[in-house]
Amino acid sequence: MILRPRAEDIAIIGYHLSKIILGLGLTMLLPLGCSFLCGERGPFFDFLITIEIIFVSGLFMMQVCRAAYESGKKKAPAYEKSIASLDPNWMHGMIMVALSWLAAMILGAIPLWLSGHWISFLDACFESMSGFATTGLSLAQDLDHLSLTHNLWRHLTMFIGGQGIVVVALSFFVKGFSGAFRMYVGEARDERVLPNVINTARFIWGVSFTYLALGTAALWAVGMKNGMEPGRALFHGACIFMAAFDTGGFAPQSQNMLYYHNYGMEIITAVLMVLGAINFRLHYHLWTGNRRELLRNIEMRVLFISVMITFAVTAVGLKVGGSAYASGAPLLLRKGFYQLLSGHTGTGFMTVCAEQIGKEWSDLALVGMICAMALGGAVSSTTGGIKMLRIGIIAEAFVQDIKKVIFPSRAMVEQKFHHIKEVFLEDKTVRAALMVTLAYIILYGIGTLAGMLCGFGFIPSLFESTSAAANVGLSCGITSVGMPAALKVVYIFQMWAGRLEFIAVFTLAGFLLAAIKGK
Amino acid sequence: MRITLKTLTVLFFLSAALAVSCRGACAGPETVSSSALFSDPGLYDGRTISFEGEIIGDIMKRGRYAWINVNDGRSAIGVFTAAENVAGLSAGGYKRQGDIVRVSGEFHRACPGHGGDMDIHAGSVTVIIKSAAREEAICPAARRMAVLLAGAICLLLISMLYGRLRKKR
Repeated sequence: MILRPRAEDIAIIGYHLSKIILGLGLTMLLPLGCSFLCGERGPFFDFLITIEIIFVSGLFMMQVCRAAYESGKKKAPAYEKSIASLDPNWMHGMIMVALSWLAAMILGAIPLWLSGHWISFLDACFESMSGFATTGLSLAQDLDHLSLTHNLWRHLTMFIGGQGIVVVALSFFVKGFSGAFRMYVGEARDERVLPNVINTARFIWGVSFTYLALGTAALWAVGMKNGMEPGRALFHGACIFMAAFDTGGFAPQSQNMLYYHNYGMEIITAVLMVLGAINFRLHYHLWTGNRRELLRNIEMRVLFISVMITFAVTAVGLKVGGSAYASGAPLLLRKGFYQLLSGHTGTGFMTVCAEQIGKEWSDLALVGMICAMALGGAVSSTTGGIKMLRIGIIAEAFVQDIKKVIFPSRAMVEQKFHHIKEVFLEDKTVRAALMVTLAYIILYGIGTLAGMLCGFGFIPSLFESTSAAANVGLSCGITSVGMPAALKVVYIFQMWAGRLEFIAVFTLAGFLLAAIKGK
Repeated sequence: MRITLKTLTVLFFLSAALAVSCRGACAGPETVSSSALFSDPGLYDGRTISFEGEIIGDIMKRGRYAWINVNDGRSAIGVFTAAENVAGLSAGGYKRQGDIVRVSGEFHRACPGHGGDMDIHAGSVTVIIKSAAREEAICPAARRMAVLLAGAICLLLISMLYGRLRKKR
């Protein structure tokens, strides 16, 4: 029998959700300040109105949920604690996370839509989800005339989403409660860097801000050397850093990375993309001087092998397809390898036009890219996709099974791998890895089917679907303002489910089902 | 000298051919849109073309040369040219419409000298329309909305404060 959720459950979820919404509103003070400093009056009002809408809805929701909980408490004295001091359980945490991301998408889309650069609210929602989920697919119109304020917000969504919307709230707005870990896990971060989840969230921000300073300074210097004015070079440096380290893929100009015509920029972003694709736990070990971990860690080994194999496939595909990029090593590295690395780390930076990928790259080259995008980077990083740890675990399980067949039946076959420490392979670990992998494959398939139903070919549909679901952002030309609204909705769903790695989404679906069918 | 019909016919065709070739030379290279370049880049690879559009973003001078990006309304393409060709030009952004220019030069589908970028090596950059400031219109409804919402926030905060005070009593 399915139990219908109680009013108190909804009140607890709503109350904590309102806190996260208010936290999101506070992050918008940054673009508001930018609009004031840059003298952009239109964007100032766009953000002022949005912040006000967020505060009205957040405060109203908080009041309603508190009142609903208090009235429930009177009827059932079991609820002794006040709503503010109550710890959400696993179900509450997961649903809160799933709803926070949807709320962030809608509220984050408001200033974009008000700017007039997105032709519909759906397009603005697409952009907003693409930003928060660090995907990088864009439906902006006339991006080259977009205000600095709106451009800053686009990139800031990636910085916030990359670390995790709830991580933002945990770091700055939540004093600390045991339910925090449940929300942290809901955002696809199942590994704690430090014993305390709040300290873990703060460490993630510490790493991010340190790299922000270093990365922005490097990109700023390169920008100025390449003829950009200091102010614009700094703005572009900060935006490109946020997009690269958070493996997002947005860029301030419509040509993406092709705008800069500069290999220095490409080298720095390649380094940042790889840093963004590394597990935050591994960052911690590197920061504390344990550099050997980089060579021993299963994720790094699998990432290296996977990049090499998929690059080989892509390079052969470019050669076979007669692409001009296969004519020499420099072109192959700057176009083939850069795109491949961008896809594998889930970033989505492009130094070629989307149309070129769709029309000039052979199917084999696209298959290499699709595999790279589908696999993704490390767990507990800012990347999407299946992730290297799961691929490593599945590979180890295969080796274990082969050993079981080869070795005598009485032999005890134990398989272990190195991930921060030596870990023995257990069936439940393999099962969990296979479940998530299967869920990703189904998600890639759903988008492919939707693309084909909209009249696109199999390979382009698979490419775009994988790009959306693995939060990559590379496009072969399907993502455009003119694509069917239904396909936009499917891609939004893919970006959301792919970023949260399903558990929070499945819990929300179960909760809604219980609300309808429960007794 | 006697002019025969045969001589006249030859002269007519010669002058016609000369006129056609002169017209072609005077018109300059073919003006191509970004759609045409992106849909079939191989067709124009290595050919001298004209491309018209607005300079966007930055004018990036690098020694004796410079990069500009020209957007024809659909897509932008990189233009590599001598620094003297971009002197005095303005690029467009949020507050400014950039110079609308016509660039003429060699199109590269994957330029070997620039890491495979699709670009135009322009010999000339001609301004068609000078840059101008862009109007920033603010809807009066936006101001009213901002004031109304500010009022709503104040009301909510007062009600929350009142609720807390009542609870304390």
